[in-house]
Amino acid sequence: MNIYMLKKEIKYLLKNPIFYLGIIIVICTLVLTLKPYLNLYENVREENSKIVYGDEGIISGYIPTEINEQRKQVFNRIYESLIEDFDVSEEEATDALNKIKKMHTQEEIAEYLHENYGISERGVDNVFESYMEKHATKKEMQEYLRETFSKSTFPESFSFKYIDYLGISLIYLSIITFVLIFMRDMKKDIFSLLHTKPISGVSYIMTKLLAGLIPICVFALIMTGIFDGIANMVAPKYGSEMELVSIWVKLALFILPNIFMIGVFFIFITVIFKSILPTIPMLLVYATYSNMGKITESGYKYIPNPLSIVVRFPNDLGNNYIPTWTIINQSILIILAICLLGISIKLWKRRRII
Amino acid sequence: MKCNFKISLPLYKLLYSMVFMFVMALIRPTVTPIEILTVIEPNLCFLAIVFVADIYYCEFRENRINVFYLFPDRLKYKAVVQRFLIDFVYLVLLDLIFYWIYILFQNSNLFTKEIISIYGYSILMCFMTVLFFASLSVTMVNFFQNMWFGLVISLAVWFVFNTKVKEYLPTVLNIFAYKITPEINGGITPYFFNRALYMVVGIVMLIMNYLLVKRSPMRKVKEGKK
Repeated sequence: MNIYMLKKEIKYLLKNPIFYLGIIIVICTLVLTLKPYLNLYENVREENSKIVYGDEGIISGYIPTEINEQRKQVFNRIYESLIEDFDVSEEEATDALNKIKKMHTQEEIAEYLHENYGISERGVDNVFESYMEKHATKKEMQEYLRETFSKSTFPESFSFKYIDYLGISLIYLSIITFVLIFMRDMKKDIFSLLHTKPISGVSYIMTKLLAGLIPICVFALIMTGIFDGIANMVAPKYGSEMELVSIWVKLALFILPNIFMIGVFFIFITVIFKSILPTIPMLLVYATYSNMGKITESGYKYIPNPLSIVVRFPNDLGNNYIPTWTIINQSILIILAICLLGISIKLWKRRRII
Repeated sequence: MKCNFKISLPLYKLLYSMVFMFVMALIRPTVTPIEILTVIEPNLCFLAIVFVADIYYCEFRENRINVFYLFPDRLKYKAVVQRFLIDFVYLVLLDLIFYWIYILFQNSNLFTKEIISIYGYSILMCFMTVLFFASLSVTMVNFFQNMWFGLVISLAVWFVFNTKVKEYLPTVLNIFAYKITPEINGGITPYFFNRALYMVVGIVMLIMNYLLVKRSPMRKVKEGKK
């Protein structure tokens, strides 16, 4: 690695206004997406207003409905639907209702209604989903948050959301950063000239990689420090204890390996095509692949893809979890990145002219 | 023409555009045929921005601009338009082919009566939106005589139309807008008026390039000052 070149690259990068445009994009994304989690009482309903059910999420003031309440609402809806949409008599509908009230699982109910009245199982699932959450009052929200954050702290739950959005927005910053680092070197005359200089392939590629990674990592560390501070300041408002470490652990496990992979992937594609242009759509494809879930029987669901450069944490605030295989995926990602780095160095040595 | 063909469609461009569309078709799950439009159109527009960005800028990058600048203005503009049209036709061809590849890769639910009419929509939509984004990209790059500045601006416009920011725009200004039609086309139908409007803007920008290629290269002026 060439320290002089590294310093010069970082200096050029910091002088370029487009790099700051990338930083502004990340800051705006984080502020806009995370701000609602810092004021969860903003969208709660008035104390005496009508209860509304839905699946809008905690930032819209919705909290999970209690099982008994959800079942009661679902049964009422099914009863009305049987009479109005399926022309079932009131007696028969009451009889069906009494039968399904005795059933314990959603699957049993769906199967019974499908077999006897032709209601689609997906339709029954949708009815259950539409009563999954209810619009809470401030008091209900306070109770829910106190209960949720007695099991895990608010900063810990918030860190899932923070890492989620930081991972996505850093892809854009990484693309911009590495484009700025490589754009001078990929000109026809400069590319050939660089190969005549007494600088080894390892030194060149490692310097370029570090010149991109260092500013991104420093920026990610600063942002994490700021959001960790904010989350801990807000925690007492939700009846939660303070917790400083978890966000940093997640940053180390789920962000840094991904940035490393993005950087290496960028270099790899750039060296293959001897141009930066193809790398931009390729990274978009990779990011789309990483962010994609799968269509299952119960509908679209986020399932992490192997070698993905984005780690998402399903569910709403307080119920997030780390998907299975994620840690193994991150380990394989690092190993693959090291392999791609080795190949990129070899390719750089071999490709002397554009 | 042959020379412009080689410049605007080098092998690496063909390769990465194919890989881009192919992988996108593999990884993006869809349930209804109309969803294919919502995947192909924006992604093809993204590809168009990157794909056509250097059709004139390559003269700067390859250090040929000093000779190219000596050509008559009419010939310079003709070369740019020819290169643009070659890339544009290629991108529309990608849409024509990858629509079916998409259908083949996804589940069999997509084989419905509607796929032919949606194919027609797909061609028409991509013709209009790709023309706008490709023209925007070329114009921005030529205006700034800096490929990365032009690309960043064009991609920023694309991101505006593909993020929540578009919700703040009136429907007529949203290039990727759809209207809700519960009875037909699986629930949504594209708005063609917006796309046609942007296509006209794209054609105007392409014509404006006549003025942009007439300008002397900025880099030459800077070097002269030094």
